[in-house]
Amino acid sequence: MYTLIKITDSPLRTRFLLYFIILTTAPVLVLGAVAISLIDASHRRDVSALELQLINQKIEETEKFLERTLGVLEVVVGYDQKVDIELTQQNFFLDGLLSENDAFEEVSFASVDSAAYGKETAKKSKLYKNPELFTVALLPKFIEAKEGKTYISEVYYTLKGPFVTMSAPVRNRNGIIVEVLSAEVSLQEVVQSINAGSIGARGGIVLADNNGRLIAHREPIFASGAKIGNIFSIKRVLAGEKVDALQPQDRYESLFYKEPVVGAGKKMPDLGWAFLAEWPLSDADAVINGVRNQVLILTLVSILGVLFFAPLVASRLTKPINALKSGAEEIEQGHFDKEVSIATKDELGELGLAFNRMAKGLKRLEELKNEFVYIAAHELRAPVTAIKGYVSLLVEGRAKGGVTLEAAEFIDRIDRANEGLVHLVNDLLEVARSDAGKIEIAVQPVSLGAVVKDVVATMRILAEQKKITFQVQGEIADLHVLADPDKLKEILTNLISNAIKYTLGAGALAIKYELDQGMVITHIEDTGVGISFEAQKKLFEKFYRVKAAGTEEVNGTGLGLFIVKQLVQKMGGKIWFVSQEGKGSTFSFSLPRVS
Amino acid sequence: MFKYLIAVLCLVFGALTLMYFYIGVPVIYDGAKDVILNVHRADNAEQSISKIYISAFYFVPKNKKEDIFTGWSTTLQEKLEALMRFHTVELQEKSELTYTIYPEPIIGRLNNIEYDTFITQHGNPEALRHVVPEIESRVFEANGDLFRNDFGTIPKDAYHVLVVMYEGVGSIGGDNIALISRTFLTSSEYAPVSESLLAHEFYHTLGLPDAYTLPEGTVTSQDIMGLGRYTPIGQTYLSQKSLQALGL
Repeated sequence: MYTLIKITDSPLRTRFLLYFIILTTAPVLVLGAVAISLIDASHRRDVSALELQLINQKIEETEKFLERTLGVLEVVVGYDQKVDIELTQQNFFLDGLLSENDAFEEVSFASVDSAAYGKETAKKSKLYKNPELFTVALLPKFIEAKEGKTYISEVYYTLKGPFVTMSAPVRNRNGIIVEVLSAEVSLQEVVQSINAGSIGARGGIVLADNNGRLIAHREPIFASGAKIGNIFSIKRVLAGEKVDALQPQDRYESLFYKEPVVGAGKKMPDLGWAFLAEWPLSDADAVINGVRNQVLILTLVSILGVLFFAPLVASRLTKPINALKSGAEEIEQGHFDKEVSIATKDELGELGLAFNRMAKGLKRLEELKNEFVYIAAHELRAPVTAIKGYVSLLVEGRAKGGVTLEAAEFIDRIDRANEGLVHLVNDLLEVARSDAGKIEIAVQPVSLGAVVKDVVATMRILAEQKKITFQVQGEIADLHVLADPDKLKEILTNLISNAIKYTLGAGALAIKYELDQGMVITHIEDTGVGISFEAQKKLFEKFYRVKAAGTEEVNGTGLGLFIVKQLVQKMGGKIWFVSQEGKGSTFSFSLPRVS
Repeated sequence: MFKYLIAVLCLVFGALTLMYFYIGVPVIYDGAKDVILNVHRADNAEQSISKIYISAFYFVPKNKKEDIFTGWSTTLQEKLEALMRFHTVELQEKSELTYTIYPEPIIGRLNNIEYDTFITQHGNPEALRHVVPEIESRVFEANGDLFRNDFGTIPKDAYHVLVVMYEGVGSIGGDNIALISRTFLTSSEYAPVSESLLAHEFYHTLGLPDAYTLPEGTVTSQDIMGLGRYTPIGQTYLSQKSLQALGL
């Protein structure tokens, strides 16, 4: 609430500026943030789709390789084959397998015949001749195949790279198992496939076996067979967690790239191998970062544009209102002729036209009022003059039969009240003439000293009655000013009269002169009650009277200073004052000097 | 009012700053730390094998001096180098293996009949019982006749293993000691698998057991502790079970 009050107390232009900035930048910011978020979300989905697509492709290639290789081992022989195939045929067949399949490093037959159960009957290796034959009855490769199943071992890692052992039963055409055929299979083809897989410029695939050992990765950070199952991302894939490049943990510092990456992974269904695609963020987000920066720059430029144009718009919006404000101030000063100019054709333009119509109406009202005041004052002048005459006669005792003392007291009161009324009527007439521009000023060289002397002679009695010392300082006998002598006298009378009236009890009153650039400045200085700061602002307004302690009995109409100001200005001079409450006032007016 | 303008501008640029630093900026998950693995003996998790130091010897019984194989040092070096390569790959660079070869053949104080056993199906435990104490006393003790200042300083924190190429029969591996007949390492019959045979005995020194049954010889594993000992070193391996036993 405090804030609201403070804001509403602020200038309209500033408020417009503030609201304009808020209302324009907020949507720009929100739009920018939403745009970046949507682009980022879309980009993340694209990255996820790309990585998962690559993973699926590599899983498919790996599965096809394993299926194809295992298929080679699933041999069917003739109907009549019951037990062990003839040894020469075995050797011939194994030689053929080795020569035809690059992936096979070693192949062997093992017997299922009870006489030589589990014994290897023939073995061929690409590495050496005549390998030793063993009894393999306890090895899973024999046990599984003998049961009629195909078998793929866990991956093992040699100096030549990763391998698996594969085995399959050899059946005759009746489906009877006659031998077990096994092979040591190099995974080099899978390694090459993984190494060839890429996303963007630098992204790639990591393949780990079900024990978390590295089968392949294009970046040679770890050796083949290295234990990487404890690496967070691989561990998550092996644990079957969802790793799709969209989870919070899917952006991490990679131990392969040694920099932040976005990762997605999948576990191969049968063998449990983990395929993890990693894409360095510096590469994956390169384009999106560019777009993001462009959006940010655009947002910034928009906001700077708003900040640049907001003051212009605010000024333009408040311009008609300021024009109306100025127009209102002119009217306050009584200048009804000044029209407000608002060029727009909107409501503010209409308001300006209405304002001008109102000003004309006010002007007419002012004229009517002035006319009324003038007529009323003029019509009142005759009766109050007559009253004044007759009251004078009564006071002078010229009425028939004279008056009693009590009646004389009443008549005196009537005389004083009528005197005030005469004074008011005269002032009103003066004001009305002034407003109507009908004051007739006939300026001529006037001896300032003579006029002052005349007025002082009149006012000295009043000053002495209140024990106020009266002093005229300086030689003024030779000073002549351009003025209407009657009006000058009226001005001096008014100012000196005020000085005496507003000096309560004994005091001092001085009239001083000063020459300034072709002007004669007259100062009337008193030691009266002074004028408060608030009253000083309104002192020359019509009907304004100073209210200070002890001045309640002071008579006046509140029009004196207004008339004085009008008269001084019409004679080409200025009037001002300096006052301090409780210490007195100095009223000064200037008139053109006659050299 | 000016302060409200400043506040609004601060908010606007604050929002822009937030956008710059937070919206569309990837949050890097910091929980993706590697776990440090400690490799150790298969039968003793307290005994680290992250550093292994081999002291290798060519031991010749007194009565076999005429049979000394002239290229023994080169052969032993080649086999140990092959073992190093194999070990580095299989233990995923978590275990560092270094070796030094005693520069002269050690001529035993006894004849071969007193070192050997005649049935070598279980290796040659007799040789192990006699050869090793003799080497230790003569080479590693300061008052031994073969003690050398430039040999026998075992690196600190290293797991020390003795590898003995024996001019006799059989082969056997036990705690800290692997003994293998020179014939296995130099005979053309065993040439393709000689390194694997040495590695097989070496891994006994790390606590790994045989993976075949006796006396049938039926293999229970294809890795170097079973069938793989008769497979070229480039083709054999340590099974997952063996690696797990070693802490991997």
